[in-house]
Amino acid sequence: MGAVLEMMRTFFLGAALLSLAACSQGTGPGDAGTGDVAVPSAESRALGIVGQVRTVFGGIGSDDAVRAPRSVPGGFTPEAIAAEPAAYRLVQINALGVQEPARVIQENGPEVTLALQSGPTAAYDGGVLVATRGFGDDLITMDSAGVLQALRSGGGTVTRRMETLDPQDQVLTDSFACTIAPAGAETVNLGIRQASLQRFDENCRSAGLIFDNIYWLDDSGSIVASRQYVSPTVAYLRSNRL
Amino acid sequence: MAHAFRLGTASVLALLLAVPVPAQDRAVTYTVYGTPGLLEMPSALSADEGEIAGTLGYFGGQLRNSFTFQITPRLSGTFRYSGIQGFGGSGGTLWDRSFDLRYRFNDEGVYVPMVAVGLQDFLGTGIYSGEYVVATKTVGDAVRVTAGLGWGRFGSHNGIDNPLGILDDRFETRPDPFGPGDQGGTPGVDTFFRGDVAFFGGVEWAPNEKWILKAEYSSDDAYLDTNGDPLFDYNSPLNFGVTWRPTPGIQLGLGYLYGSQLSFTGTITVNPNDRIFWSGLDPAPQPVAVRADALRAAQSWDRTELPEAAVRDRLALALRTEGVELDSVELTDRSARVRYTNTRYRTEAQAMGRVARILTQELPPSIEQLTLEPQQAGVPLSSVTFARSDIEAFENEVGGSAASLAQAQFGDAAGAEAGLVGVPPARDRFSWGIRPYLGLQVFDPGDPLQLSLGAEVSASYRIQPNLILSGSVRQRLLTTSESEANEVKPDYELPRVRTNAGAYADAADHPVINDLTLAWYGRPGRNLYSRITVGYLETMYGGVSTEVLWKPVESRLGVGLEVNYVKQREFDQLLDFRDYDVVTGHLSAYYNFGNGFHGEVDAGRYLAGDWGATFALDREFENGWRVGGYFTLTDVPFEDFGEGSFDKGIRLTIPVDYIFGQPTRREVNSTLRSLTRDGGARLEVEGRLYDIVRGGHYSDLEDSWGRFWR
Repeated sequence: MGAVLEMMRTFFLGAALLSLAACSQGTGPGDAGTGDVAVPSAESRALGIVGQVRTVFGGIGSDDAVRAPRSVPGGFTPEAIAAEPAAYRLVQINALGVQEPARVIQENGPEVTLALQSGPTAAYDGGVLVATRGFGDDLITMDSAGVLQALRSGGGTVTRRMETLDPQDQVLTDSFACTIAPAGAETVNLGIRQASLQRFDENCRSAGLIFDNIYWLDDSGSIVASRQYVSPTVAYLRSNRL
Repeated sequence: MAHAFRLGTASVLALLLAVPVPAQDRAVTYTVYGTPGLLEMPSALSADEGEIAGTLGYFGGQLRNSFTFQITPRLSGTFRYSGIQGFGGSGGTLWDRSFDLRYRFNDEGVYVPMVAVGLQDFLGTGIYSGEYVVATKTVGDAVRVTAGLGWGRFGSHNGIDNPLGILDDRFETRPDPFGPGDQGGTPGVDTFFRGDVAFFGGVEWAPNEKWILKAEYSSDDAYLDTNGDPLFDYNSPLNFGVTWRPTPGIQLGLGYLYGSQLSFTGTITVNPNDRIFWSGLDPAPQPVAVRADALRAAQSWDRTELPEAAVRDRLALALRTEGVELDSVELTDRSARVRYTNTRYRTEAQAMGRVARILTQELPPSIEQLTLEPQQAGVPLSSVTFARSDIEAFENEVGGSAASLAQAQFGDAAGAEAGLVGVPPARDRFSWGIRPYLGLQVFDPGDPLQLSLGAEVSASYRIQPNLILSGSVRQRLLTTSESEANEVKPDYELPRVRTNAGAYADAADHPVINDLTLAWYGRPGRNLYSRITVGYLETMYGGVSTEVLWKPVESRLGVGLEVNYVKQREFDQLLDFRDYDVVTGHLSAYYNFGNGFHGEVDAGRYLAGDWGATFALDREFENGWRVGGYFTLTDVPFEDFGEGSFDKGIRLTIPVDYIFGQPTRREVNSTLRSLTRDGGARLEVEGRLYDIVRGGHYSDLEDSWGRFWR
């Protein structure tokens, strides 16, 4: 009976989560300002115009390119989320006006890839963001080595490398000096529940860029929620377990 | 920060908080000639490498359309098409083409100015020809000072004896570059830096990032018609103006020149090094599935549990989500080989990364060796083999791109059909489309800009992946061309192989067959590719076109041989032919120099039966942009060739994924010929082999390998 009640609870919370995704104006906890970021509505308007121009010049007719729809196994129905809450995350990107559920689509040991309901993906290594795809201005790759150890040992300094693609598709590697420090306990809203978690702040700087990540760890030392840097346009990606 | 947007060469390096790093704005503005500089006078400044600037300039009855490309950080080239009212003295407008080159010797130092040398109109009829050495120095962060010495046009006001006369007396006089009967178009080397020399200079001031005020002392007072009468009232060598930059990429200029004339300039700049949509709005790929250690050790897989046919079907379906059409598959216990056609991604490297990821998802765990064989036009281009363990290890790893390229084995895919099992095609054999088209015919002296707009219906039917029937029909809806210029012209020393374009345009008031061909592509042997195309090959010619290309996968060099027998099509562009026929063809060498430069030489027989060679050099950007120039020399004497002396021009390719951000293999091509003549004219055939093949070969893959894990 208790299990059924628990199922029901997660079901309704999953539904609530979906409605959250539909109205994306809310702000979650721990969202420090992200500085100068793109205005999403102007951007989407511009993309709309681009799409129209493309249609006019592309003409009509059968498409010679091969295509097929993609689908995320399991999907994003409240039933699916309720049945398997551990496979879902809540993702929020203020710069893009995104707040939606994401599902784990690949687990390779500690490396987990999430797919957002709208399609982009984010890959985490032990909870540390290592890559995103499908956002346009993506995080191509970022080192995770040393971050978890520093978090679990109460702080420390780590050198992290980040790869970007230049406008000619050449891979550039930047090196960041990162300092990780504890910032006390916080009660964090995880969308469908509140949790008391240990907060750690990570400050990373290279010659041309500074960013600040935030990790919230539970008692076992796992990252339950985080806000991590992606790129100049996407800025920070916040995600948490349910 | 604001100072960084002004003229400052001292960079203000800011720590940027989530703001993209802009290319440093040095406020390079363009002259009425469309070159970086003041109003009429050049400066030593270079634009950012790769910048392409289109400028429309007007003053004193002179309309100048210029296209300037910053080829390297120090070398730039300009192509210009100008109309000079009243130049012939009779009130008519002379239309004139000109080419410039400029080279900057050094970067600006704290005390040392940058210095550049330039040749203006060194290939045209010489009306604008002049040479200069110029120095430019930035003072503070908002003022720039330029001073130079000019020859030719730039030495025509207050000229003094040429100091180079010390070296040789011949420098003291400048011969007329454009003698009677000369068709122009050849380098005027014997006039360079000869005759009087004069001083010019000027100042630019940028009070803020949007406005630049300019004042100059011009050394040009050669605005005379052929009778030596002035083209306008010349009152002063002092020119003043202002350039407004409302937004990056657009410059509008207003000036007051020579004490009597208003000048207007508008410049649009675009730089392939500034990508609009970051690294693209590509959909996210499937992640790599890493096998557990126990599974990885398996030496075989159970085909009763997972039949090969099921694996093939699953692969075909999964690859379709990436725009990849699976052609055939070979499966063994430990290896898989897939042959596929990428229909979505501009680079085969990116398609390869997507295919490799899907293979890790769909193949049984005992399979360790993955061989990918991209094909286009139904022929395999290369064979690239990865260890599945490497793919598993390098995803989302810093250094993973370089490592995956280093570990991959490259080879030829010819003649390896044994073992491959075909998969039903994912696309319809038949495809069609209706699109608008824009026809552009420029530089005809009688009618310099002819535009036509219409609708094109195209269709194609793939009988086999490598045997394709295709065609298109066009209906013109609008044209600016005037009929009297379009009458059929009689032959002269050369057959009219291209210069009856007007007659073709005039006859095209009904639907015309733009092209209708059957093309067959093949792999006759290792490193060899072949093509036979039969039908109405292009608007003016039909016949048979055959081609063989030798191009090893890892070679920078390709060699092709093309032989065509073609007959001239009737002006109405339906099914009939005219009497003229010719055997034409070329031996071609293609070479990728690296560093973004690509060269091509085509030697052989052209449409008019003339023998010669075309030399082309392109600056190729890894993101798909190409800007190049070419010239053709044949055994047609310059005086028979007509205006321009020999064929030369510039060409531009813009990848459509750059414009819209979405992945696509489409690109926009444009060639600007200095003048379409009958000498050195080449047949236009769709589907020449080198462009089809090169994308799957090592040089192109390596250039774009950053997209493998994109």
